[in-house]
Amino acid sequence: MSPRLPALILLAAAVALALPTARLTAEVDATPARPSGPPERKPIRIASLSSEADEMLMDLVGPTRLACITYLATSPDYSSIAESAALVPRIIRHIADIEPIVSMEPDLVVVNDFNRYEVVQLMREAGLAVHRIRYPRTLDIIAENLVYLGRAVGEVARADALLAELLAARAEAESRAAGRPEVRVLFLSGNFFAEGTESLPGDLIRVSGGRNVIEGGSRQVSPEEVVFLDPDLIVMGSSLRAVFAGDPALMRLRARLETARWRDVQPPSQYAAGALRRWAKLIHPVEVRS
Amino acid sequence: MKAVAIIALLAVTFLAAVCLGERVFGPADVLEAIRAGTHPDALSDLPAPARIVLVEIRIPRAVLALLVGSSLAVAGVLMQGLFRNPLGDPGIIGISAGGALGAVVAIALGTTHMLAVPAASLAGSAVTAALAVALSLRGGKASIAGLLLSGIAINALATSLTSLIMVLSQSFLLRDILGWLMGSLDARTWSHVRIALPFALAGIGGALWVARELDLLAGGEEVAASLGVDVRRTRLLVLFFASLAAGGAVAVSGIIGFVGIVVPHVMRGVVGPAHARLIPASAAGGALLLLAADTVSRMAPGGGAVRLGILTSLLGVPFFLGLVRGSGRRDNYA
Repeated sequence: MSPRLPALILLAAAVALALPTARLTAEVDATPARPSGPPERKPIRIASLSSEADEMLMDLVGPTRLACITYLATSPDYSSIAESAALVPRIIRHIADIEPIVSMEPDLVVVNDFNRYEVVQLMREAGLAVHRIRYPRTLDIIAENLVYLGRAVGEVARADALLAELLAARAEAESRAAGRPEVRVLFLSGNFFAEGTESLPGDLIRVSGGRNVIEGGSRQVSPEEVVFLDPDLIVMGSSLRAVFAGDPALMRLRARLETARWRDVQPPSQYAAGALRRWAKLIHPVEVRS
Repeated sequence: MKAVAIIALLAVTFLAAVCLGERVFGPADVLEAIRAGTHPDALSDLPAPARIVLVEIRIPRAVLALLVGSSLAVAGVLMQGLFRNPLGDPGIIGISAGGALGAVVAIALGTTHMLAVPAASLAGSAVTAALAVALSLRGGKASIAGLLLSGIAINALATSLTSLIMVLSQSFLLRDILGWLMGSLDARTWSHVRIALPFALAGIGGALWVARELDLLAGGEEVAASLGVDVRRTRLLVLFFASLAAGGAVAVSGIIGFVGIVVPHVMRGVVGPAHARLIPASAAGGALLLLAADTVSRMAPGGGAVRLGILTSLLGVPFFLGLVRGSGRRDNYA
């Protein structure tokens, strides 16, 4: 038999299927599902698929109501809840693999607004209650996420208490920074990756009385650019500190060099209250008392 | 007999891919889940999570592995026929690299529409394939050597631009970008199957359409022309259908390498070089390989860290090196 007959059949089928496929649209619900009030029943098997939600959920509900948490929560460098995270039944490394999550039968799933839409869509099609928090680029968004999650998990009073601590820490940082001399700050969160004004560390620096030398979003900077920026203070991780120590040009900078762990200077949760105090000490080490 | 054996093996592998996972299901569970899925109001003894895992996660994933594997393998047959070289691969003319660039742009822009990444990937594949062909033209004719060289250049350009976008992207998007570049069938739905299916059918159908011409081209372009083959038209059709097949696969799965090299070569040893048999056999072989590889990828320790594209590369590279060493001693390609 000539292969052209089956070829024609397949090509015809392809054309017939192409038109309905082209009309296939599925707009992703990009706005988080906002609870209208406390849930009828408090969720008791909460799946956190967002490293930004891990710390908030842990302090809101504790490990017994968490079905899973992300692997970053178990890292002492990144997380303030590493010890508690060890008590959670399951640690998730690979969020796109939906099957283990569905199998856990969570009664609430928390994701970020940058988690892939296929993942969210598939979980919703599987009947899971998926809530999306906003990626915390500012203290205001952290506050918003706290309130939102507090309502979603039925712990409004607890969320309000955590929020009050965060707002008090913010007010304290702002009042301490008032009237102090401006300190030009460069924060390198990775290998010469600088956090700009439009980032959470940028917001924390601003509130604590510093002036971020990187305007806008975060980006890669070269050692040469660091020299030209001439900041008063450079904060970085310990691995980058070793790079600085080995570079004669960088060691001739007049800037004060400080190292800090991720969790101490840019936690995306209520632990930003402690990060504000840390930044205040970094920016004005002599005047500020912790 | 060989056809029956291949089809039987494919059916068993498909069933295994659906049954095996974090929780192992039996074939009866699979049938019950399909029955419950098509009759939502009917009672079922299978718990809801099990039904959801089977019908919404495992079965579409297995179907997609079948479509992607067969598409990549058939694209490999076409490219090997075009270049008359068993080392031919759909990535030669930049289809994969262009698809990667398109997808990475879509992810980096933070697009939320479900079709955005596949559509951008398809556009990227189409642009790079068209560019490679256009750059290879000399006096209105595309030479094989020119196609190869322009493909290398386009690959390098697309790869460099992809790296640039990654450097400029927000850090929280890098995870998604890298996951896509490593090739995966995670979180794929029936909608992805609907996207991949027309391209797979068109690629395989188109390959069968030019099967006779490819057989004649194997003897050389002058011989083929003397036997009535329009070499220029055939070359363009081969490139077009290879781009459809490979582009459609890359759009839904990311970059999965070596299927297009390994499978046609293996199946050529099983069914012979005649394209009328080689094309369907390679389609089945590609489906088999990807089903098995995806199952291994899901079951491997590490919680999904061994991505499908990594696994096929780990398997394919030794095979590829063996081909390179053996290609000088034996030409499997007459």
